[in-house]
Amino acid sequence: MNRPASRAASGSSSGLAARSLVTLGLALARRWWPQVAALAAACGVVTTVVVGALGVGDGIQRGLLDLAVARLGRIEAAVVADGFFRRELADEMVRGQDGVTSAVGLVPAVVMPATIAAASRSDGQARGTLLACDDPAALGFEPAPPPLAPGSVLVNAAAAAAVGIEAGDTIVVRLPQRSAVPADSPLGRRTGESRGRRVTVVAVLPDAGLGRFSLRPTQVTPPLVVMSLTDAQAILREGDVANTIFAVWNASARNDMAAWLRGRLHPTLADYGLDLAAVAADGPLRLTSRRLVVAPEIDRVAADVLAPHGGRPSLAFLANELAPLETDGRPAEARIPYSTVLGIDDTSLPGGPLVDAAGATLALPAADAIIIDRWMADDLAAQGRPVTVGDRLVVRFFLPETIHGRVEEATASFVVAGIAEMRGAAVDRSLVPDVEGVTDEASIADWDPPFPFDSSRVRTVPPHDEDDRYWKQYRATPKAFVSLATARRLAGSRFGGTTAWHVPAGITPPAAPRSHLAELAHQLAAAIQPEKAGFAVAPLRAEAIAAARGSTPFGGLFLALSGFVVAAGLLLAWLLFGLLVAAQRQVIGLLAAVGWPPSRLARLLLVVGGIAAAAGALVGAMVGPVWSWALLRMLAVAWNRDVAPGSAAVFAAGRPAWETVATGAVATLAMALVAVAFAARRAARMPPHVLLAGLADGASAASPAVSRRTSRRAFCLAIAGLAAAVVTALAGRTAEASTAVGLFFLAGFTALVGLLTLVRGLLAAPPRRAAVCSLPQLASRMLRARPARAFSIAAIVACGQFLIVAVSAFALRPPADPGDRSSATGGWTSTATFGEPTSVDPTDPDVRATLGLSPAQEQALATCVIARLRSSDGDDASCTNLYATGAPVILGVGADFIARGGFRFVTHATRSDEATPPEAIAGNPWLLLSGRDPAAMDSAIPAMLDQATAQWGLKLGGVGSRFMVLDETGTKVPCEIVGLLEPGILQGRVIVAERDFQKLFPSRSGYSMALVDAAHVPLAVRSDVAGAMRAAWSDAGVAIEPTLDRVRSLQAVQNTFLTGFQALGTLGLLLGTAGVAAVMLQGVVERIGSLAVLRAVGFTLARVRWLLVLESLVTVGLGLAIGTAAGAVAVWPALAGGTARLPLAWIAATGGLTLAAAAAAGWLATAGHAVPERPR
Amino acid sequence: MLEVDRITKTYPGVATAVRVLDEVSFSLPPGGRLAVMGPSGSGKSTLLSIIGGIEEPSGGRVTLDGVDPFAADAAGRAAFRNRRIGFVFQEHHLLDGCTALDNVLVPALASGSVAVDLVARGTRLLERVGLASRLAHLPGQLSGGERQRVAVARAVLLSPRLILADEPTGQLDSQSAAGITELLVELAIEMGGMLMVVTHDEAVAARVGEVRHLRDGRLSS
Repeated sequence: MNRPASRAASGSSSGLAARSLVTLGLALARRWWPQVAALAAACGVVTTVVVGALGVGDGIQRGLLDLAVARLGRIEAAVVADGFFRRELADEMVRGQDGVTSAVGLVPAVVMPATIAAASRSDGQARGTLLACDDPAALGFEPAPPPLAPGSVLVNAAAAAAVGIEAGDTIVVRLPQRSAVPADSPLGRRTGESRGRRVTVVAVLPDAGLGRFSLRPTQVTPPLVVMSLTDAQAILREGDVANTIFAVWNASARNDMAAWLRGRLHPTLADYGLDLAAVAADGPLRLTSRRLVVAPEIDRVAADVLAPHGGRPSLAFLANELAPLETDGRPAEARIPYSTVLGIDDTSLPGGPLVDAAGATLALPAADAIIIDRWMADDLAAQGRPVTVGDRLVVRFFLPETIHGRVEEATASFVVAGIAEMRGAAVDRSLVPDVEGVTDEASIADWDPPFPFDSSRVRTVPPHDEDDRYWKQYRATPKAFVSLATARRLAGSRFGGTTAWHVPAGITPPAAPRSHLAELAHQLAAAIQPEKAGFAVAPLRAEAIAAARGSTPFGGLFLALSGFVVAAGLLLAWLLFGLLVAAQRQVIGLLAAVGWPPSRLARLLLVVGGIAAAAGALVGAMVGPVWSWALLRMLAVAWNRDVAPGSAAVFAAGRPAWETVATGAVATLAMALVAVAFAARRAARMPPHVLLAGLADGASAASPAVSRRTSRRAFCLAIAGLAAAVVTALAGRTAEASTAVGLFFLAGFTALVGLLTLVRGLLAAPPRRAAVCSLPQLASRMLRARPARAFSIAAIVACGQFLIVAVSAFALRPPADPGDRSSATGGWTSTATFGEPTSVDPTDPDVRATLGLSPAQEQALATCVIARLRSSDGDDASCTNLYATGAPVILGVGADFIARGGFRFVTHATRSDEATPPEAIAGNPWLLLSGRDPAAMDSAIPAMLDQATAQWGLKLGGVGSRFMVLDETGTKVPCEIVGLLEPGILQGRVIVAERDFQKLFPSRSGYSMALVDAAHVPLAVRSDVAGAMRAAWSDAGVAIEPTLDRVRSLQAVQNTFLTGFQALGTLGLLLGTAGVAAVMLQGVVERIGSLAVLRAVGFTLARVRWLLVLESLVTVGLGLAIGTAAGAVAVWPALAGGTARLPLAWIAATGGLTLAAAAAAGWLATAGHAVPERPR
Repeated sequence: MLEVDRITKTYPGVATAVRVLDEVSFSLPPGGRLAVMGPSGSGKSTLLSIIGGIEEPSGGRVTLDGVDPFAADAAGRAAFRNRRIGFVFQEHHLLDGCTALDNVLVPALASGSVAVDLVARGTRLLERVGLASRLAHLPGQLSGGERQRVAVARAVLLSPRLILADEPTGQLDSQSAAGITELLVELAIEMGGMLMVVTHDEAVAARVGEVRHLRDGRLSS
């Protein structure tokens, strides 16, 4: 600085000739290296932050994609079925209907939930996935898995860790036994059953290749057991079946494998679980379903195909009791137990007509009429209560669908319309489909039905063994007939309204390529759409890629989070450039004085600044990936520890792509150049004498009128901003909770802007006439000399502090008492999730008695409150799932859950009806799910979900907005949001009433989840609750998790991001402090003469330093105070509601450190006797 | 009484040490005024710095009213300058952001707060130097001569025993220079203090009073 300016301006001491602007710029940059290096460092920080943020997004998305694809090996697509189908279906697809064999690799497999347990211990157990196929290596995973011998399995590392096993150990693999008959129907099995087999672990698959297999894109590797298909079939006892066909990529693979699979998928009736067979040689045909009730879709196809051939549907249901009604309406003593009633739409059935004693065909009974057979009429007469046509009869029967897993009885009365003689249809055994445990029993006394069966009511002991004799002679042949419409009204359900189709025996023309039966079977199978009958073709790889690409745009998110730091960094670069100009003002002033036009001078400064910015961008491009790696590591550790153990692989992607780095570096360089160009233009326009004199800021030279005008404008803006903040806050006080949060945040931000503008106005205001009387006043006056700089520093610090306060207050804490119903747990203490839906209801004492529980366990369960929830298959839409959500999980909650209430609502609808008045809904908004107003809802299903999922996960609107969910046939069904919950254990799921769930998923039986409240369990047996639940639901593959753990893992997501925000806010504060240091240095350089005069007139060096420290403290203190105040306004609702607390310790720590750093900056600015005792 | 006794000042040179002041001795009685002239580099400003307690001499002794500033530590020397010396430099070096009155009051802030009477005195001083209407003006709003008047008022705020002015008119036109010189002399007389001015300007020197020349490190008699 003291060297001759002309020498400095003409080039370096090495004599480099300044032949061009760039050459001179380079020479000056070398000579001014301290300031250039500082500027480069600031640009480097900004580039690092930008590249790092982009790198995080790049890394996570690549990690998600890699993981999603790695989980599939070379599997491209798959045929997935609800039930089991013949393994040959895969071979048939390869061969094709046209006989053209394809080289595409199709691998039949069984994929289903499994329970993996250590054979030698009782504590090692995990729920996982079974992958059974004959040659796992054919799935194309690298490294190739070892071959499987009979009785041996492979497990992945997750399973080995969860169960505590290693290669060579023996384990028990248990597979749930799926009842073909819906568990929610009276004849469905509600007690969970599973079958297991002891097998030997031949190898533990590493966390790579096949070890990561999963059909769903998930960042967590679930436990996996791999066994041969033959072994799995042996456990399942379903024959040579599979439930999945994988299409594996090879040289013959098509681009659109899913479409190819759809084109080749032609299941037979057997694959659909249907049976079309002749009931006797050359006799009539009967179509029945493995599910007992023919599904509506298949029923529709059967009507199309079989009706033209004379096919007639029937619906059989069990009458627990038939009894004549006396004239007073009471049932007579005489009664017939456990009989089949058949609904028909014609009395002339393929097995023969129903005829009366005269041989005349009986007419189809009316809606309230019934035809009984001769046997029943005779038996009732034998019991002393003869029945004739016109008498009334009451039928007791089970409702077709269980209510919360329990069968309920109902009655219906009929008028006897006729008595059918025991011939024709009246003795046709084929009218009723076979029911395992019922129709296959030799004696009615041997029945083992899933419904409550009172064997004492059955007459099986001679001489009164009438029921047994009927059974032995006619089996389940109906004893009574009603119209099909009546039967469907009484016994029809979401599962269907037909139990069999009866087709007259047909004639096969001699030249026909196949028999009449085969032809009908072919027509039926061809007419059924596989996708509507339990088959789905899943383009797994495409879905995985879409889920990974559609995940949260982490790059944008982190860039947005880093935006403040980027802005602060650019501001710092601007300040540092000002420092450069101030330090070299004499050189710059000389150039201006000798006639350099401002534009050329600005270009020269831009070259110097550009060199610094380019160097910084280069360094940032190199350091950015390291920052990105550090952020990813932080996320990996936090996610793995707190959110989803085993998900670290998502964050393990390597360096960001070079395109990402280049984009970040170039973007930052461009921004830095803009900032530098702005500052250079400003500096170059200063008059030479001002530059030479060192009045770089120029504020002192502003006229009082200009100062007053500037200040007045700032005050007006500040008042407007603060008024807006007050108005917004007042609006927030009266707004609903969700809007209030937004309004208060807006109010806080407006207050921040208003207060900062106020500071700007104060700094710009002309000094008051009152003289300075103290050192702080003097410091304050000196700050005003460079208002823009002081304001910049205060603004950076205020924004950083605002970010810290506003964000920190949203840190989530698990509730102190999990039993608190208004907390995130909803008052539930544990959740139980099932690998396989189960209908086991441990709240039912009768059920508990069959579970083999210890007395303590039984007592524990008896005092628990348990709500079982139905659940669809779907994606977890909560924040713990990094992948994009396709179809969210839908939960069906029952009346008990709804009545109990719980959880905290952000907002909910106010609609009400007669059944649910407004005050009831205000007290328990869950009633909105059941208190449905059909007219108002326009048939949309009322649904609730947490606000975060609605807003971020599924991107839905607020209360009243509609969205579509897919039912089990893939049809879109509208839902309407009637309530938004605060984050809780049900986060990420769409919640509907159980009855609506059953309409969406009619064929889905059982419960997939249970919420347990063990708060009132006696202390003595409280420790038995978990064991009791495991015992009760062991066959369903239960996993039990304390609700607090679930809440913690959910909250960890938000808290992890908040930590990131805090880190970035702190980084902003650090940059602000660095800015303070830069400004202090600049101030010392510019005011060296004035400061020297202070020393000359008697200021000690310490007092001069104290003056500078005061300047720093005032600037930073203002920023901290403004940021804290505005932040407090922003989080006021959370503070007032008690859901958040001001992070006073964090504020004190960061604020204290920032103040200390600012003080140090002020102190060190005069280090090394930078301020002489007299001006030079 | 200012007594300068055989002051020497030597700076280390490339080959040999450079002696800037060579046993300079003189004394200035109370109320005395001295103008020191000499070519550039003759050591005038160095002499002023040593007398003002800023720069320590290589040899010799300086006392003002019997007080040797270099017998004290840095804080003592700062207090010495604050209480006994009033500096006026070639450049005014007023504090940006501070009004004319603020700048005048700055010496009072060296060791504490500004008392009310000092504010009144500062105001009177600014009136005395002809800036009654410029009290609240910032340095950027004052002319060069006005700024130097503020600097003069700042120098005499605490009624120093000795005013040291280093080329106080170096950047002013002759009319302003004459005005500033007159002001310094008048204020020194009013306060009964001593005045020592280093200048190139013979007219200024003549108005101060006794004139001595500094050549080759020696002060003419």
